[in-house]
Amino acid sequence: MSNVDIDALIASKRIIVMVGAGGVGKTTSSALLAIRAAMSGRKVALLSIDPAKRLASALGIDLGHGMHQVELPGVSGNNGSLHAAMLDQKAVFDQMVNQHAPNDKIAARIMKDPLYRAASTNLSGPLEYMALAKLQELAQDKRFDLVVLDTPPDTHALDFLKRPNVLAGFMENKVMSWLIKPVLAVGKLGFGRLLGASEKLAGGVASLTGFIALRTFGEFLVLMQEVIEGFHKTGEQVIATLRDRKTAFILVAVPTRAAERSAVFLADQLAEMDYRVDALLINRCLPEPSRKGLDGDLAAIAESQGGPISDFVKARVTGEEKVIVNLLKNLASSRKKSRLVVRIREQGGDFHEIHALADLARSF
Amino acid sequence: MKQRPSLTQLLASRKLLFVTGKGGIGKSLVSAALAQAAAAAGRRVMLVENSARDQLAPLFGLEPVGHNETAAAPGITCINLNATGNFREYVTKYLGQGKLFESVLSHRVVQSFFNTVPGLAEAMLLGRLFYTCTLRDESSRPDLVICDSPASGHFLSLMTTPDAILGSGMAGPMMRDTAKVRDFLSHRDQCGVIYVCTPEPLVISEAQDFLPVIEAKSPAKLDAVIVNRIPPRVSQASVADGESGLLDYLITRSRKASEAMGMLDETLKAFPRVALQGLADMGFVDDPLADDFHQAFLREEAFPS
Repeated sequence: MSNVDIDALIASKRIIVMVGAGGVGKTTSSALLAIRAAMSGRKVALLSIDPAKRLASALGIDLGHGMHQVELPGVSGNNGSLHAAMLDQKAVFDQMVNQHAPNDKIAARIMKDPLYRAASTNLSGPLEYMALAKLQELAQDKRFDLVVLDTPPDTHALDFLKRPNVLAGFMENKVMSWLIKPVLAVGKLGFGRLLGASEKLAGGVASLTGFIALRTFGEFLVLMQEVIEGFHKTGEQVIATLRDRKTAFILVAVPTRAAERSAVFLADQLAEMDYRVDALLINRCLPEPSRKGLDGDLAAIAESQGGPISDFVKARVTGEEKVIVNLLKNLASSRKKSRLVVRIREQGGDFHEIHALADLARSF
Repeated sequence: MKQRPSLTQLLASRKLLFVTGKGGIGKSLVSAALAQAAAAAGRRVMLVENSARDQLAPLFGLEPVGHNETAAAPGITCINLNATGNFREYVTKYLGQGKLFESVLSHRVVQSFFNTVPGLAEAMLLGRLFYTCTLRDESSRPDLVICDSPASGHFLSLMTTPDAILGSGMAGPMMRDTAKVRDFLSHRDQCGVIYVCTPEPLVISEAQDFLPVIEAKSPAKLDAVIVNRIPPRVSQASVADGESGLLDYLITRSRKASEAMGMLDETLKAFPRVALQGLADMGFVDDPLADDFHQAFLREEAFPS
């Protein structure tokens, strides 16, 4: 189909970011793209978020085991390679703290902080910071010339892409000083008395609202001050990296109304943030009809399987066309225009083996 | 052997149902159909989501409604709760501090802070659901809230937020409120989780991992498993030549569905009190939904095994 174009994209970019709603096959598509790139001679790093267990085991990656080289069958005679990793929120978080904390003592204190422990392991949100930090690290890693990044699904993809801006806003708005000053003012008194003194934090907002976080969070920020500045710096670099010409965004969708709505919305948001969508990938399309054509196939299905089943197929086919037409219309009507549309036909196979993945990547 | 409850029984008796499952398997559609069914049975239903953009409103032919509860159909309202709105209501209505919100907390600075604190948005969402189900004025209180929830992983984050907050060593009124929310969620006869999946081995293998974790870590427990998009049964003998890609596709899906159902059966042995419902693949569902969409979609079907 559009192999040439996809290959041109693979050959010319340094970072490929895959975005899309949940369940559209983004993670699998990321893996296939990465494999295809490696087979064409590129040195690829694939950063995956929450891959299905079977895909993860096919790639031989595991949580907390860092970058892992994936043996690709049938790759010889070129310098291509594939490394893959699954994002481990807590590990990257800890690494950032160690890197940016002013000294080991403060790093250790942060690690022991209950708020930090809760945030770095249990709560959503930090994953997005961490993925960005990791992306930046990989983009600068000399071992790789292409980074394929799978993003969190749904609304979290947007959180993820907005995250650098949220962080930047966080700093510029001087929230830090607003929260920290009262704490710093009494800081000389020592940590033991911080608790009592910070009751006055922000004019008593904390006690009025019962909004505990203001107090505890203020203290936490004092601890985290330099680490957060480190995050902030990373955030700015990431924005620059994402807007770079060498970075491509691929929007992944499936032919359902819900996925169509999400895709159009995502494309709008990306355009607003000045990220350009380079390609639209539509997964899970029905296989092409046989030589008899669609009507012939439907008639054959009606005869052997009965009317309701051929009606079912017909509803699917018609719906799929409607969605794709609509998607193209919506995406073409603005500057977020995608130049490349790839339809991926539904596959019977399962992806639990690297061989199956490699075969699929070849036929991409 | 103990009888599994039916979806109908759950819809008639619960106050709050969370609908979750892997991304893209039809959570919103299932939520909307359940709301239709409950409303048809005479309950006042509030359909809730928490998304960047409305997924529920378009199913009822509405433009995005955002954080405004809007009538979607007779007996059904829908709303897309957002973090700022939840926070505002917590402070102004619940804590009675309207001035405080307008003067201090509506400040851009605070909003920015609010968006950055991990877990806060989740806590506010759960708090808002708790408030709606139990404390809201009786005249406007819905009988049933159906929360079209985030996909599995983020749902787990949402549901473990109360324990994360309670275990964080902090103190104050929000801790007290979080404890109340957690207590409400843990009432099995009032709150429950509906897990939606599809009969595909990859999806079921996620269910195998996810269901025990939810059962162990979420204060609200599993109430039902819905298997969406069960493909039509095809007779394989007559089409062995495989000359049509479309037919091959149907056969492959049928075969994988049986395999997946076998896996699920095994998994569900550990959950004898959980309702089970299979839903036929509709081919394509266009929006808006028909008023009686639930009748075709949720019709009782023997659960294939």
